[in-house]
Amino acid sequence: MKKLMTYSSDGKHLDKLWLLLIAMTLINAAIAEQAEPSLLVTVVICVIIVVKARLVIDHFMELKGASPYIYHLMNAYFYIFPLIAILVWLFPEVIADFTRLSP
Amino acid sequence: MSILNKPSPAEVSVLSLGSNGLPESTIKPAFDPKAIPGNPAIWVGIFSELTEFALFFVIYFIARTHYPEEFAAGPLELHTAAGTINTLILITSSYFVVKGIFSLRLGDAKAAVRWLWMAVFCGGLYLIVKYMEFQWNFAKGIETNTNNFYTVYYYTTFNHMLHVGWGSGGIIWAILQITSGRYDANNHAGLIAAACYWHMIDLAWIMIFPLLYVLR
Repeated sequence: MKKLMTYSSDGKHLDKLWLLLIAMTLINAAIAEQAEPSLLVTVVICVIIVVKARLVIDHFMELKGASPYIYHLMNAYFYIFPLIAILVWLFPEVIADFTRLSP
Repeated sequence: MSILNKPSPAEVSVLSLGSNGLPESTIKPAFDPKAIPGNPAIWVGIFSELTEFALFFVIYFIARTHYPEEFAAGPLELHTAAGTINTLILITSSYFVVKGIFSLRLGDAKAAVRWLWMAVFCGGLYLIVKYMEFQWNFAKGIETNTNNFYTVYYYTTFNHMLHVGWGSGGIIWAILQITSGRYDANNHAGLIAAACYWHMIDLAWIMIFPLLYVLR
């Protein structure tokens, strides 16, 4: 996410960042309204989640310069759940069988 | 200027012992306080909250595999515009919070307070939109027990709504610290803590919105 934004001490970079986040939200909304469910749509939605989360973590929370434990844990959270969403799309029956309480 | 905390007086005194002759390696604190934005306690809270939301997400994924028809049809009946508006509101509120922090760092406390009140206003707006969305659902007959998708939807979004409520309280508390003169350009760790908590609420919604309103 470093190359997407250039830090400025007066916070001017935040304006561009905000517009970028708004644009990605509107893309999500357009997908919700128009796109038929598919693997591609799921992947696009998950990529948008990751990019939005990384922008907030890196630039709004400014965790890049913080404890690597906090930074990597926060990032991992927003990689793992979108990845699970893709796995659920690909292998729903396998996951359903795995999580069934009785045979 | 860094957002990170300065060492507490206790830690400074320990560190100063080092300069008085004790070997540095024997007096290292358990963690580097400079690397914890806000304070350590808020991160216990943030990760606790994220664990709670993680449980909601796991329940969502498991329920989705067991009731695929309900989860494919459910989002179509929800008020996508309300979900989108609330996403925009939360992102904008996060932007206002971080603009407030930058203003305070530059020594402009008045502008900082203005930005932070705008963030609180967004929090209030979010709650109103969410209330209207729930009313719209009820009018359509979408209740908590309509099916498994809506049960997950209500549990997750109502829980998130509560977080927006008390997160706004945290920002108001930080505003009062600035207006009373206790926080300034060099000392505002509590504001950073409240801001990190607020961004966590925004991050949780960044996951919730596509899962419940977009993915089918």
